[in-house]
Amino acid sequence: MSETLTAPETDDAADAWGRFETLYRASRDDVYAYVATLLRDRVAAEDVTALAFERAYRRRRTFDRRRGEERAWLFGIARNAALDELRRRRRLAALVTDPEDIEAAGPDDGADVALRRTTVRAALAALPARDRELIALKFHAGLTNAEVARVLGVSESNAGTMLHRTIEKLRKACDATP
Amino acid sequence: MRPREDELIDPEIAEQLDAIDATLAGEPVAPRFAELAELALLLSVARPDGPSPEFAAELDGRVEGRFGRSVGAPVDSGGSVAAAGGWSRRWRAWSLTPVLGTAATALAAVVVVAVVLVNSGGGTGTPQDVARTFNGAVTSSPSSKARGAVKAAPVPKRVPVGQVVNSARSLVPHSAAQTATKINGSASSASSASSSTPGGGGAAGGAGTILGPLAAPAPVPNGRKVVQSSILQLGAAANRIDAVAQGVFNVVGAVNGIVDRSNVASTGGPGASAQFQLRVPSASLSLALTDLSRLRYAHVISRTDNTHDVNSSYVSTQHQIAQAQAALARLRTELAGATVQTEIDTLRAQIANENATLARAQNALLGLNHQVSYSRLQVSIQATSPGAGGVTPGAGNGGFGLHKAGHDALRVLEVSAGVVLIALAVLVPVGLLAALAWWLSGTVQRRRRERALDMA
Repeated sequence: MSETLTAPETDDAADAWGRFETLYRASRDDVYAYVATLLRDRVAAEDVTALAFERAYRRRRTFDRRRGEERAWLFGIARNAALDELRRRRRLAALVTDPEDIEAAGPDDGADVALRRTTVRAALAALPARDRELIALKFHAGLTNAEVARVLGVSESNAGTMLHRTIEKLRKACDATP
Repeated sequence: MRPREDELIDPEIAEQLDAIDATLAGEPVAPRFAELAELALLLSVARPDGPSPEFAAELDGRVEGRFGRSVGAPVDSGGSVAAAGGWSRRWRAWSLTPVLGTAATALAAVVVVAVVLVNSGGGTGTPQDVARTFNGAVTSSPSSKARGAVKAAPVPKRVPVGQVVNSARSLVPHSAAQTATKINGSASSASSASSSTPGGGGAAGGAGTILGPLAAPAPVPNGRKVVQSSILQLGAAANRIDAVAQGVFNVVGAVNGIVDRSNVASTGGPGASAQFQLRVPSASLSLALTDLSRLRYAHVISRTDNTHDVNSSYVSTQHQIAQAQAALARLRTELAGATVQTEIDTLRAQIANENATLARAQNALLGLNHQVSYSRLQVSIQATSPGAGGVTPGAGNGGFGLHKAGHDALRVLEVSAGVVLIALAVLVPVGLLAALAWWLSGTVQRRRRERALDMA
């Protein structure tokens, strides 16, 4: 049995830790959902999620509230980690993705709703990664347009325009599905 | 890409986005946005399920433990995060490189600046520095070089450049023209003569064994007969005149010199002064001047070094002696063979005359030898105001006051500002380059990531 002796925390450190813990509790599943949509690999998404939170923890003192909310900052870190994973996979030329469970349906879904959901999932899976990322940030992670803009490094109006364009693509893809 | 807040969004698009936000928030939307709202709901429902309970529990534990372990703990099938963890550590180490590099550059710059300052003696062109530099040049004459006195010498203060140049002019070995410099010694109102005691105590204040900055410039020893003399004017606080005068006696005694005349007036006020007529062995003139220049409580006001080439006189006198000796030999031979009384009387008169000539020449030669062997040295000490310098390097004196402290503080500030300026001259370009490299690195990394997204 071993014990690790640590120095008592200062108020600032305790406050920073408390904020990080709150952010973690509120964002863990959202970050995972975003990364999983982007990578289409659940195992890798778990690893990247863990890596993103560790990076966020290490850099928590560098967070500047004047540059945006904590969630946007966290998702920016997660995005970089996910893109690094994409780069690594591209170098290895072994992009392994989970098969999309596009037939999955909720327990109490009706047939019509299930069909629509299947259609949307299929259309989403067919989207380019950049569009899929936008959908993930907005609908899976629940970020505001301003936060999406902050994560992507674009203006809020630009983010809105991009989001609108992606939804239009989805609409067309859904309409084209027989 | 930086956000541009001034960009305007199409009103129709804005309304659709508002409808999406309202739908996600559970609020009602206008009927014309019903299809959009349904799509939004379907998209939000299409969110992937949460992480596996095992992973969630493990991550919760790591967060609780504040990531005490490395990030590579959970290993996936491809080992990606383990690799990423190593990458993360490498990245953290790499990110410290600019900081360490900048710190090392700053340290190197400070060292370089310090070395430059030490070697240049401060680098600023104050009169003291000019005199110091010039003295360095003077002491770099062959005889001084042999004693290694050029840069180790402390800084002389208050040495008028003109006076030093004067002494340098008298350095020309074959110059027969002596340089006369008036010594501003004040007349003593009360005098008390004292004689020296050769062989007295050691050189007071002359603790250093190397030549000081005012080491006498000596002619190159090329066999010619040269008479040297020096005039040294020292300044000291009025209440220190006695101590400085005693120091002069000690220095002269240490080099086995002779005090021909001394005059020390100790009034304790501005009229206090002392004058010395000294003779020191020429071989010890440089040492004596160095020690006198370093006397405790005193500072050098001016110094003049004279040389006078007497080689021709010396040779001429020697020739006269030889001629007289030859004539005497010839006359004595003639006298031995003379038989007539008148002839004998004439020869004896001539011999007496030649003897007198020989004696005069021998006396002249003796005098020349003595002048060559012993150099004349005039030293005068005059009272100066307390704040007028007088701190001999390496010697603590009691004249430290506000004026001197202010002067020293100003000098420290000057040197510090110089160090900062030079350090900035080095660090600013290095910093700009580092910032440019950092910006380029970030840009390249961002583009690579975006490209990976496009190709996914």
